[in-house]
Amino acid sequence: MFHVIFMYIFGAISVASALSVVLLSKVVYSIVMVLVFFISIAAILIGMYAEYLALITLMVYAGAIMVLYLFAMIMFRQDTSRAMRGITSVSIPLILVIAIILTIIWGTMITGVIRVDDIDNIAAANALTVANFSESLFGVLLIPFEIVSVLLLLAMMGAILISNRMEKKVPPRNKSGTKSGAKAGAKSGVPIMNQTVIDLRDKPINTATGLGSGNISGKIVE
Amino acid sequence: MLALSVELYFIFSLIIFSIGLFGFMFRRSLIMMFISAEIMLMAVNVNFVALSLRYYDAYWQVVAALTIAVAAAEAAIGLILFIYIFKLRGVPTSDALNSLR
Amino acid sequence: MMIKYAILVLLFAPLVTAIINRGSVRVSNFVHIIAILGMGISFAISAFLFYNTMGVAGAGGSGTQTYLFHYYTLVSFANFNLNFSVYVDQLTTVMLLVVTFVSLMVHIYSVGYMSSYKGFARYYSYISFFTFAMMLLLLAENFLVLFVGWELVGFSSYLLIGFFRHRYRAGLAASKAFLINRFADLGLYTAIVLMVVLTGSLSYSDTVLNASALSKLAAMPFLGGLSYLDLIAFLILLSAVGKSAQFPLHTWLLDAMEGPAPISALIHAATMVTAGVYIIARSYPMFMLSDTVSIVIVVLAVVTAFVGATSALFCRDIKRILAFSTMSQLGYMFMALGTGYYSIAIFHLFTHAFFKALLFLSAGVVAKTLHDQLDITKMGGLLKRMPITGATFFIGALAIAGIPPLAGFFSKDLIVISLFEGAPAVFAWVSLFTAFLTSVYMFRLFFMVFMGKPRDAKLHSMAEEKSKTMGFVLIVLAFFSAVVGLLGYSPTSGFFFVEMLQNVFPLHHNLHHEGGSLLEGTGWIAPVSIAIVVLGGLLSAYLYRGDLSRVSMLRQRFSLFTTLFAREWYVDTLLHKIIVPLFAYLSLLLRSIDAGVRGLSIFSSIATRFFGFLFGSLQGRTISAYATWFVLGNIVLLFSVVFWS
Repeated sequence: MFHVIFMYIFGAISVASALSVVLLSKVVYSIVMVLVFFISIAAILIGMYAEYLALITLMVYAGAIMVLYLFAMIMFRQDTSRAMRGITSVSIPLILVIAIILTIIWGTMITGVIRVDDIDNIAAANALTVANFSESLFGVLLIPFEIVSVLLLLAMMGAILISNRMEKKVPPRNKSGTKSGAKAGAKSGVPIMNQTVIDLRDKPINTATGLGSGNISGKIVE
Repeated sequence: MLALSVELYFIFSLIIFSIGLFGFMFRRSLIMMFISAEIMLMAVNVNFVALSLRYYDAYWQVVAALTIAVAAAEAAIGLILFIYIFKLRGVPTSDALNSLR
Repeated sequence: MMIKYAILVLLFAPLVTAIINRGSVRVSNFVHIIAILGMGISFAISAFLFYNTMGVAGAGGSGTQTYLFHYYTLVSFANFNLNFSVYVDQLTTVMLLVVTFVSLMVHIYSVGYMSSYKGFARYYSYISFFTFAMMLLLLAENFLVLFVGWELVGFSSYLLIGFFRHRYRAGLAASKAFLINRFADLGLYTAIVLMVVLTGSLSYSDTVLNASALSKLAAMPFLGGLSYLDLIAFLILLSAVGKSAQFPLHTWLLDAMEGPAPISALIHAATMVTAGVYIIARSYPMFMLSDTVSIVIVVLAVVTAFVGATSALFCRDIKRILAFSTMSQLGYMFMALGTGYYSIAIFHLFTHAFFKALLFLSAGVVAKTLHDQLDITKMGGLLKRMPITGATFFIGALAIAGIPPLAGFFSKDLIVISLFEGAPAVFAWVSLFTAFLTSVYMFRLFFMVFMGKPRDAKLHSMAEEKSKTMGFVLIVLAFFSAVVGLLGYSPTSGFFFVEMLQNVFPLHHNLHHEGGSLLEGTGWIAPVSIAIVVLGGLLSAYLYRGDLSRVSMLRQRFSLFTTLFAREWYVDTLLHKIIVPLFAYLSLLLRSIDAGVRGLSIFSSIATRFFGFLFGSLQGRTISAYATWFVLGNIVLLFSVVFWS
């Protein structure tokens, strides 16, 4: 009974938040609603006896990918809304509601209420454990696992390469020494981590020099 | 048996997928298109987990986990391309890429 | 014996006058007298033949007479004969009467009309030649002579539509008419070839009027449940559709109004366009045996009538409105042909000839005095200055709308009755609605041209009736339009005309057949149709009498329909934007195959551009468009996979 109610509520929340993502006009609102969507999908995954996946979803999707998107939003000022300007007054009831929801999700997972709830469903409970998950992961699906890890590596490399191409000026091939070259390079290519906030929209990049050069300096941006 | 029949999960995944699909087709901003792609991938994950529920096999959960990894890779590349396009065209919209030049 | 030579005189008198008028310069002052004389002779002979074949003048039935004269054998070997022979029965004489009478009227009328144009002699030779060709078609005893007449009629139509040689549009219209007719004649040509191959002869008595030949054809399966009989019938129908301007091959008739008004009256109202009706009536056993083709005829006819009537509602050119009206009335004739009541179709042809010629000729008077101004929104109040024209036009309008006791009522009424009896009721109701529309647009024309206040004072002052010959013709035609209906039905002799014609079609449905009379239980149709028509006239008076404010309000509210009607259902646009370029590319392909490699390279460049444009327009330009196409393609793929397994 609890299981059914749990699933329906979080199903409704996920559909509602997905719709809001698509229909809201401001991009930042959509990103926030996507976060809600991921949390509710995680809850649903818990209800489908896939707790490990739920946690992975929360960590990877909600934790990493959405944060990346939020950073992209901040940097490119897709729209300046009050939501971006630090923490304003937060309503206590809102926090309470969020806390309750998270408690429900977390509690459901930890106590395994769902697994115990369906007493008839021992088959599912026994088949879909993390042990079996790892048995498949390192068993039948070992090769895909390795390939996916290579894929992640490639993605990282590709991202770095593309970001290298975007440097403003190509540091000149200075035979005299790399130090001056490094200095020149440091001025143009703006490493994101050394600066706080960059609004690239105010300074349009001169495409002729920055992009058409096609000259990868070979240095990894620090 | 199971508290909720498996078909419900498939229908649910279908609904979420089509929502993501419409978002992808009809939003101009590139960020919105990426997010809709994430929604679609999530729906596919739910579909895979439903499959594991139907066959009582953890195999499909592993498949879902692998697709999460792929989605992460795609998100990283997508963001970098988003920045690239923004620098190139000045506006991060889908119709900024009309021409190959 | 005398009749054999009389027919020759009937046929060749107009040809002789045509040659004289065209060839010799010395007669240039008398061309009209010569031509009218020749035509008068032909008319007299045809009237004589009419009385002769009907037997006693009066109610037909006893003493009817048909003639078959063989004049000259062209080819003869084994069992195959090609002769120039003539077959005269009541159908022939009725049509001959119509053709010669209307032609004579047009000859007389043209004295006044064409007096101000150059090429007077050329004109008279052309219309005499046309009459010769039409009579050749009607008198034919076999399909070869019919075909010769058919093509000659098309050719003279080309000459006459493009009569004003300095006008570019007239030349285009003439070519369009000729080409569309030629395309439809593919059907007749193929049908002739099939008939020769399958039955070994082209004579009527061996092919379409021969029961054993027809049953032999019906037994030969062609494809999909149809037999060769259906095929040949369909091919003949195709040629009739082209010649009689049925939908969708009707566009040439509208542009044919570029020619002078009297030839519109002659060719495109009373004679040439009725050749299609004639050929189907002549081959009627074939159509009676082929249910599929008859259904096709009915559907096409109803569509034609409806499209013609709706397009005329919002047209501004007098002659074009009348052309649509012709198209619509031809649709009515074909309706009767489709339901198997061939005599009713011929009856409508007969009555229609009179009032349509009248309408065209009075429109011609208006056009001539207003110096070729045909836009009715610039006319108005012409009745005061042109009383005879206006009055005769009004009589013609009454006739075509179908108000008793004028001609059109009886024939149209019979057609509607036959539709209720022989086809699904929806067609009959559409035809009744079309009759309503006919009344509306006809009276619209009358009110906008002749009544109300003049819309253009300068134009109005030009209007006058000068020519006595034109007025004489109009009055004669108006008289006949009023009276001829009584030939169809009168309390004393019943449905005289139709019953007389029934002798021609012994196999077909009679008005009184074993199952009971056609008219049984249909008495309600006549008052209903009269009421509908009167309603149409009143509506038209309400809308079009004064200024056009009420009309413009209506146009705005129903703009979807009015645009559709005003653009004539986009048939012409379809023709010019899609079909003609398609044929052009096809011909280019064939030419390039002819011309070899060089042609191929030219063709390939054009084809590449064409297909490039075609497929390029399908490409989206934004990512979202690509995504959308991707999704659609996937859906199609999924469905095909699911439903194919």
